[in-house]
Amino acid sequence: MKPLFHLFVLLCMSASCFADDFNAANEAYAAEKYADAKKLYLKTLESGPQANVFYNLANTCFRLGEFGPAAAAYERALALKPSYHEAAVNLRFLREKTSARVAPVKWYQTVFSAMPAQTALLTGLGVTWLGLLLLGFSLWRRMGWLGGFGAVTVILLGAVYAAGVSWQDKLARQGAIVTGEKLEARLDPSDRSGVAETLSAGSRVTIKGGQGSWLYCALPNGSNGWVKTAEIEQVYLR
Amino acid sequence: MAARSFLPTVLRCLLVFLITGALLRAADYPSLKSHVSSNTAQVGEAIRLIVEVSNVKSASPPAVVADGLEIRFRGESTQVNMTNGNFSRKQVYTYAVMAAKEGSYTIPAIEMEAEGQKLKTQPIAINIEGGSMPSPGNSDGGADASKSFFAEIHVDKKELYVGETIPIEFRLYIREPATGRLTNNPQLTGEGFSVQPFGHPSQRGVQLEGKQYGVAQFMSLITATKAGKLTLGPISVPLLVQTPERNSGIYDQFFGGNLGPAREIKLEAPAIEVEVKPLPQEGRPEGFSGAIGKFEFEAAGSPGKIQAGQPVEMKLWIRGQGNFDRIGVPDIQEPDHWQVYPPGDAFEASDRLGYGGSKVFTQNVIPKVQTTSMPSYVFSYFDPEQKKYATISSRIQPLVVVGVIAPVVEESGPSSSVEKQEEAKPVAPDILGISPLAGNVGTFGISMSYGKLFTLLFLPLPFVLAIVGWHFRKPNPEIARKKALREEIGVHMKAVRDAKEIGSVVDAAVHVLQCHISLLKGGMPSQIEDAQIIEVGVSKGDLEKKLKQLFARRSELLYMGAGSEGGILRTEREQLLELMSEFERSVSR
Repeated sequence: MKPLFHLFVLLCMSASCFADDFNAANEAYAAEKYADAKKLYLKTLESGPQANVFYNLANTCFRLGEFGPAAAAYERALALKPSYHEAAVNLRFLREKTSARVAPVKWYQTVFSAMPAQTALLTGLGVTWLGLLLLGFSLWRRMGWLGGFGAVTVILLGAVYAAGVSWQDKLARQGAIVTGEKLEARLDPSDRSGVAETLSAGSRVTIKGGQGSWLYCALPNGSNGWVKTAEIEQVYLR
Repeated sequence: MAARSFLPTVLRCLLVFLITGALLRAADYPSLKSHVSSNTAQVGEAIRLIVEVSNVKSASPPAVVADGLEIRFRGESTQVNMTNGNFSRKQVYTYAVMAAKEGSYTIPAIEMEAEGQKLKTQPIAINIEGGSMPSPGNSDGGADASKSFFAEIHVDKKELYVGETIPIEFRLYIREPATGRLTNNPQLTGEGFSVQPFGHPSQRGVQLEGKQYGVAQFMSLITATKAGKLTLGPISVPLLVQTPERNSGIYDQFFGGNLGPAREIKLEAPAIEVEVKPLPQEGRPEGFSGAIGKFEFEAAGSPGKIQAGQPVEMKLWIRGQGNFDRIGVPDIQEPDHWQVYPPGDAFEASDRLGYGGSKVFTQNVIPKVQTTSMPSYVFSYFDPEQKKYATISSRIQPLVVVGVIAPVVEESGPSSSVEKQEEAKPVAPDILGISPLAGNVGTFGISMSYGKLFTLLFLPLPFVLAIVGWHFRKPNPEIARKKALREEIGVHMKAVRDAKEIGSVVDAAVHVLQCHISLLKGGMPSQIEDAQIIEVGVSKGDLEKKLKQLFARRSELLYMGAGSEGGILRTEREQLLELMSEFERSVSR
């Protein structure tokens, strides 16, 4: 009984510290002490990724003029909570301000990323299960081809959605944000190589591979190019 | 007797021949005649002079000259007549005679030589009366129906307000069948008003004092620019006219033919005066932009649901009649709550002048504060009929704003109110504020491994496959046969218990026994012989005997057709049921 009590007290203290840091960060932000606020938000994030904290951190970076890290933090907030409207609005505003570029998003990508990936995947699985149960039921009750067709349709919908969500998650894991003020993506992994595309802070690229300190990325203009590892930040944190 | 009567007849014929020949010869003599279509005419009206030359092989039109008259050759024609087998030829020359002034004139005798003879006509006197035709250089106008040509300026109202726009007409009246053509469009110039050029005229016919006139209407818009008495006109226009010749035939008049030569006159529409008043100061709305007329106002926005920071497109329609060119975008109410962008506008006229129509402004607005309704607009105008200002507010439409409205960052620093007013441009939107709540810890993407994922995905699959397998399994015919036999036994046992006819009861009982044997030994129940059933009862006490009695009873009922009383039936039924049970027990052992 005693160890359990100790664990409970430890958890409470941890939660209390976390809340203290977050509130202190908000106060620092309100007092326009943005550097302090940033430190406190980063400290808060040590306990785990939280959409709201990333959002506040992004705002703080924005106020500090660090548009690249701000964009990365907004992207992280959106990755954790795709329906985060404020984050989406601010990110759009930031990108308009910095002329950041993003590859056009296809409609099916929007569908597959409408919910948090984990939730979306479980939803897809749930629908697939439902379809399988419907199929069993229709066979048991001899509901004919119409029942079977409906069940198979539900199965396919669920399975395709789950697969799509997984695929979109894989792509999202490869997503990275340009954190420097200006980035020149090269045609080859060399500073002397030709420029494939010039990207400003907040632009989004997709990492396809790497070589040394260079990463081979899909660029917003549809081409591929090489960027230095230090110039971009992956959205998903490990 | 015959000779005496023949002579006078020949003499008589000869006499007739000679007289006729003399007459014919007299008719062949060349002659020259002249006459006019009318001896009286008005100034500017043409009289037709006809000169006829008969029995001349070749002739040319004679020259006709008279003091004070303008005589123009208009054409010639030839007439050929046949009388009593003889042909006569007549040359007809036509002239138009006009006088510029009223008075008495004489067309002198016309002379010509033909066939070696000197021919001459009689002088003709004509009288020219004072008419409506103005002399070149003189003006003659006004809405006077007694005249052939006149013009007027027309406005619908004689009392205007400064800035008010009204239609103005220049009307040109031409009495039919005369024709007229303007070489230049009318022009109105003057002070105290602005006017658009007159466009192409429209034409119509009117009757004035019983006379038919063609009216050409030139329309434009005039806007009063200063208060006081305003004189519109006169408008002077050069007009090329053609009038019909006096007393031309009905055929000619019908087809509008025989018009005199075209000549230019100067026609003048007299000036008119209108009173221009200043707009009243009393009741003048703040947002009044100078719109004067009769208007309707409506505003609508779309979409009805926006994300915070997105614009709503407002469309503002102003319909009616008035000075559309002076109508500016209506005022937005609560301007501090909206970020307003410069509007676009389009005007669609409902008439040729653009006096009536619809003006639509398109303006994008972004809410700067949290709101549940679209902006309301106010349009003010002066109604000259009511002589007062009118203000229309647009209907308020609901608006859903999703998300939090971004706080507006106001530029701080010392500045005068005038400077602030000048810099009242839309403030650039800023980022939305921070979240006061930390929220829950989440995970990036899918934390599940692909192995787990596929396991979860196909977890119910074995269950479904089992169902499918069960569904599509191959049935055992022997089991199916036995199942069918058991079902049959059940059905017939019911008949043994419930049937009302003893025959049916017995038949059902026998069939139950057959089914039992069939279950035991195979084969169809109907093919089971009585002996096979009785064999079951051998060495089982009186079962064999009871079975034999049953078959005997069946034969009895079959061949004798005997029935039974209900009491007997009940007894037999009980005995049969007992037999069935006993037989079943024996078989199952």
